[in-house]
This record gives sequence, C-alpha cells and structure tokens, in this order.
Amino acid sequence: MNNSQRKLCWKLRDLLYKCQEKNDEDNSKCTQELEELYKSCPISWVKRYENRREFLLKRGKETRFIPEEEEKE
Amino acid sequence: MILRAHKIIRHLGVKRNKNINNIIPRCYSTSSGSGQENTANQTTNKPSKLKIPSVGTNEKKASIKTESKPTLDYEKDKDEDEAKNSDNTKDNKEGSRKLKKKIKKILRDPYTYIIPAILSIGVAAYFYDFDKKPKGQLAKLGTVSTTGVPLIGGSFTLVDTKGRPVTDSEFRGKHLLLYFGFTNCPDICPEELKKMAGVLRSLSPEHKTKIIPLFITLDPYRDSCEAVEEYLQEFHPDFLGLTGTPGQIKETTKKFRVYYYYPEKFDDDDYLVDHSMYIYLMGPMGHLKDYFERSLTTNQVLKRVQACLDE
Repeated sequence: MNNSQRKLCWKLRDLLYKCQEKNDEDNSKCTQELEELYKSCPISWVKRYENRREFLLKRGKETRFIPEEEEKE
Repeated sequence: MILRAHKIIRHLGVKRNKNINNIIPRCYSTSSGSGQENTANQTTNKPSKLKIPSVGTNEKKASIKTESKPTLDYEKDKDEDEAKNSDNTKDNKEGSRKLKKKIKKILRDPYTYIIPAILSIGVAAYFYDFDKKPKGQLAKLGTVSTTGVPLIGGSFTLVDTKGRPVTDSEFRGKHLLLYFGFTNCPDICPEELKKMAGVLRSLSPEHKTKIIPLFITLDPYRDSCEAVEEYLQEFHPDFLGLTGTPGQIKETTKKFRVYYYYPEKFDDDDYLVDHSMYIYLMGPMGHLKDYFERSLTTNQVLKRVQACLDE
C-alpha cells in the first residue's frame, strides 16, 4: 500500500463518517460510500471504519475525526 | 531533670579536676538556723570566725538590734524572726546566685548538649520527607508511579530505513519524540504522526536542533525499510524510521512497555496490529521525560515539549 492509496482511503472514510453523522449511524443509508470503500481499501480498514463511530459513542468518547482538509492549517 | 541527666553524662565520661574551692561545704553555709553569730560572714566562702559587729554597716543591723536593746520575750522572737527572714532573703539571693553559677557551668559543659542534639535530630528526621517526589514534568504523569522515574526506555538495536544498524546510543545528547506504530494503520498512527509533525513545524529553530522525531514499526513482517521510508515522507522530512527483525522489535517494545498484539490469523497480508498509542518524549540521557495521550491536541503536546526542551 502506498501513500496515494492511503490518502484515497482516508478521503472515502471522511465521506462515510459524514454520511453516518447525518443519518444517526445508520449504515443502510450509506451503502454508496461503503461500496466505494470496499473497492479501494483493504477489508480490515473498511471493517474498522464501518463501526468506529458506533464503538466510540458506546464508550462515551467523542466521535472526533479530523478530515484531511481541516488538518491543513 | 536536665541537671540529673547532665550529672549522669558527666559521670559516664572523662574524669575532671574538681576545683575544691568552688565547693561550699554544708557545715559552713549560712542557713536560717545559725542565727546571729554567722551573719557577718554571709558574703565570704571561707569558714567563719566570730567577729565583733561594727556599727554603721547595713549587714549587721539585725545583729545590733538584737544585742543592744533589752527586749521582751515575744519581741525577741519577733526580732529573731525578722533576722531569720532577712537571712532567708539573703539566703535566697545567695541561692539564686549559686543556681545561676550552676546553670552557667552546665551551659558551658559540652556534655549538656548531647541529649538535645539527639532529640532534635530525631524530630528533624520525623518531619523530613524521605519519599522525595519528582518535580516538574514527571510529576504530571498521572498513572505512572510517583515514587521515582518510571522505568521506560533502555538500550535497543534496530535498523534504519537505509538498512544500517542503529543503537540508542546514537541519540544521546538529543531529545527523542518517539512513536510506535505500523504503516498499515487505518487511522490512529496517521493522526499521531500528524500531531508530531505539527509540533515539529511549530518549534523554534533552536529547539529543532535538540529533538529528533522517531518512528519505530511494530510490524516488521510488512514494514520493510522502503515501506517505512515512503510512509514517513507523508508527514515530515526530518522523521527517522526504524525497523528490524521481529526479535529486535520485541526486545525494544519490552523496554518501552509498549503493548502490541497480532490477530490470531494473519496468514494473508491484510491485518491490523492492536497497540498502545502514546507518544514518548525521551531525554538526552535516554530516560523518559514525558508522554502524551491520544486525547491531547497538537498545541498541548507542543507546550509540554517546549517546556522539556527548555529545562
């Protein structure tokens, strides 16, 4: 896996998270984003991204993610 | 009690020359029962002789009174009582003078000070804080034991991205901003490495010369020298990457108390390594100075790093 692939995966992840935030963590409404992730990224990553927000909310932690664009200060 | 103790100490110790002249034998002391005959000799230490009282001196007024005037019995008793009382006050003065002399003598004697010295040492030891706690940055390490510097760090031998063996001794004299991760990390490692890069960019040029950012992989099976090199270019050009044999990595992680876990089945190339996520700041002598959790922001880490570099 090289850096460009990683960057792509991270962008797709950000899109998935935005979708999940809109739809209250309902993955059935974010099927498009998930499909794209499954295409381009390793399965271990996608599986992690799928339930990451839900996992953090259950634990009572902030579902804080820093999108690529906002990081560039 | 002090006098008694003093006497005990003196008797335990060296023989001392007794000055006989300083001792007042009891038979010659001017006690109240002796009456008129010895009133003349109250001020001298020598054995008294009978002296004819002379007229005009204050000391002997009492004796003149009792000798010259014819008195009634009760008056005689009264006068005698007066004489006794005056004797008593004079005795008291004498007694207090003697007491003062005794006290001065005791204070001059070095043996007096032994017991107070021992007691004061005991009291000081009771109040002195023997469990010294570390100050400054180390005092903020919440979960780590505060009875000393945590035993994190140690000597290690790894391989850099050019295939050259590297030991920890090469980093002596410089601070290390160290992170353990792996290149196939989906989110945590990139975020922490971005934080470290942000800190580096915000440091002054002077501070930058004192610190080295270091990444050590926990996944030597997949993270070759080239993979690590390429991965780190994404974050900051000054980043150094280390990999090694699985044995070397294991040894190093033991010394830094890094938790890492491979899943049971990792035959194929796609797996995640669960690991602890701290950024370590090591000092120029190789000891731990501070560590930063994932919850801290770039600015918070930056401030603490600057504080350590300024020490």
